[in-house]
Amino acid sequence: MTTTALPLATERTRHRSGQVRAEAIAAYVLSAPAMFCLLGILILPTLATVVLSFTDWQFGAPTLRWIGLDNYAHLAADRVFWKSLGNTVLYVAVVVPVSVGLGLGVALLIEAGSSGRAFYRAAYFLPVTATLIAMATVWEIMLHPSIGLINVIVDALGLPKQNWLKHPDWALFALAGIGIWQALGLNMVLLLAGLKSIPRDLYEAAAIDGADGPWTRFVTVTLPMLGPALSFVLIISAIRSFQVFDTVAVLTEGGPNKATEVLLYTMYQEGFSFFRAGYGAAITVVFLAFVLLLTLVKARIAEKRVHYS
Amino acid sequence: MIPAPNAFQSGVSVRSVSKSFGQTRVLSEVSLEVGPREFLTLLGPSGCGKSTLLRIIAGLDHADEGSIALGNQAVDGLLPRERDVAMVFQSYALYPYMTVAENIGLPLLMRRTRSWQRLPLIRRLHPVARAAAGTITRDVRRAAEALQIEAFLDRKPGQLSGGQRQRVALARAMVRNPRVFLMDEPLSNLDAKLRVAARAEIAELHRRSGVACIYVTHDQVEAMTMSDRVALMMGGEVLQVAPPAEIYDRPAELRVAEFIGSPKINILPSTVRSDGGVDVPGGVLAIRSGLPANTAVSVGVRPEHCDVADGGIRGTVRHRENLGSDLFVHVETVGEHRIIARAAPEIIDSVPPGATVSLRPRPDRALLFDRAGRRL
Repeated sequence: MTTTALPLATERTRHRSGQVRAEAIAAYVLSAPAMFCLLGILILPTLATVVLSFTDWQFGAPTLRWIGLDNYAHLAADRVFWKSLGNTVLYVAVVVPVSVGLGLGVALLIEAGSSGRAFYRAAYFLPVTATLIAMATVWEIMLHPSIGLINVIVDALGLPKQNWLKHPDWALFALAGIGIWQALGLNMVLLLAGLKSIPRDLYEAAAIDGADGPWTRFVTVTLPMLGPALSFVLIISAIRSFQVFDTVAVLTEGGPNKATEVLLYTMYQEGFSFFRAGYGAAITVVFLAFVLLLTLVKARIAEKRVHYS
Repeated sequence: MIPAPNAFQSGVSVRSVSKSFGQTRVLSEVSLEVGPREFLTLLGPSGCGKSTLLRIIAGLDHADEGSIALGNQAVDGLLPRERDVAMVFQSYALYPYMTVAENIGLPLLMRRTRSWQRLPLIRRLHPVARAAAGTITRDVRRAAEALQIEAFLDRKPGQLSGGQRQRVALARAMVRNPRVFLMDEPLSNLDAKLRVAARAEIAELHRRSGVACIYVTHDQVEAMTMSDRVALMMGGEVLQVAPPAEIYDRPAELRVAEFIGSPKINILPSTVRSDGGVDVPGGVLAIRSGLPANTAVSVGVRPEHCDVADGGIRGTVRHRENLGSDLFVHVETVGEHRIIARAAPEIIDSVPPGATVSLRPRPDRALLFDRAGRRL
């Protein structure tokens, strides 16, 4: 009995495994174009950058030499790099909480308001649609020490005028201010969408349960329900402000005295002004590590803390 | 006998409440009295204003005119929290990020602690806050036991079935002793079997709580089986308020008669005869109406008051529905009027489609309505 049953069973298994293999092949064939693009556009360049960071390649040079961790050892001893990393972290630490906090505030006000919603929404969103490099020039005039609007206001308030972009203590914060102005609108729109998705009857249940004060309602319903949107906005604006480059390149060029030197600007200078491509690649790897870290944090938060109902 | 805390309060008074949304008038001059321990159902088709009335009582919406009183106190200017009502929402409106225990305990937490006592660290350390937390845990457990959900206290609503969520919503309403329970179609998201069980359970919980309950539904079976009285609403008006049996047997008007009962009541356009009987399509009914001859009336006969028997209205069988316990025979009479009669399932073979049968409405159970739809 078993002798007749066994070959049958194995035959069926073989048949089934053949089917599975055919399906697997079809899957690979179908996803090949996308995989190819992904490889060519994202994965290979990233790998190339990592490999380059272990060489002494000069931009345009015909030869390169494997130097191991020399570039990283050099980075660790490079004061400009540390200054640049510190500035970037400080910039992120200012821009993210302020732009998300203000974005949330504006979103709450717009959502609570009865009229002019579309107008306010458009007004706050305008900076997102504007070209930052062109707007940076506008800000340069606004921040101009003698004719700038900012100093006119500061003076009217009885505070000391500053040469904002040229003062080592103020330059980075002036850039952070522009960064906040630019990021606010997007954060506001994303959070507004999050607010709209909160079911109304949760607020009504809270009103009946006694959680009806503005603050209590905010912490009992709005904030927890906004969790997914808020964590997304936080991570996105952290990654975006980590990438700060255009305002630095246009307005301060890392100055005065490296006060606004940030990671991407240092990388750009090393790679494309000084043609030290290998060294620039090492900075890029450090930058990628930070972005990857933020992404992992986001994945973690999404998994654990935030409730998706 | 020791009276329950609410025994001496009157229930709910709704006094000529009107409400419009833009041009649409959803409630016009609605008045209603609910007794202190009464279970009153607001029944009506969707869009009749029953949910709006409930929301106005809760304080979630405001009446344009009229006033609401809870337990002899006018509450028109009060916030929902100050009205001391508990509400069960159709969607249950559970907080998805809180555990079941936190959901049930929230109304107590909000009432027994001040906002600074709810701050993370103080909540653990402050003696008053800790004492409150103790009583809340105890009361939450008691409410959960009453609804048999104590096993789920640590779960989130997302991990529960529809029936379990509905119980959590009920527990959240019943955990404190409110002046009135307001329920907005709480069973409409449950499957049919669960609904039957939940009907009995809610009625039982209401009896034990001894608190007035206003229950909104479009399902007449819920209204008939659970309520002390039913308020039937249509087009923003209350048509009749009466106990279930009365609203079924003695509807105040045609619209009430047509809404209550399944299958629908048979309505026959008729004329009063000079001998006192009534001419109906296909026959004569021996009703002593006392109305002058040739008065146009509508005769309403419920299917169960219409027997399949010789010597009555003649018609052709068009359709049969056998429910096992009952057989409904759809009969077409003169002028294409359809009459549904209830019969014993055993006679099904004697009424095949196309057969000619005779229907005998019971004159003593027939309802007469005038042209405006009022019952005579």
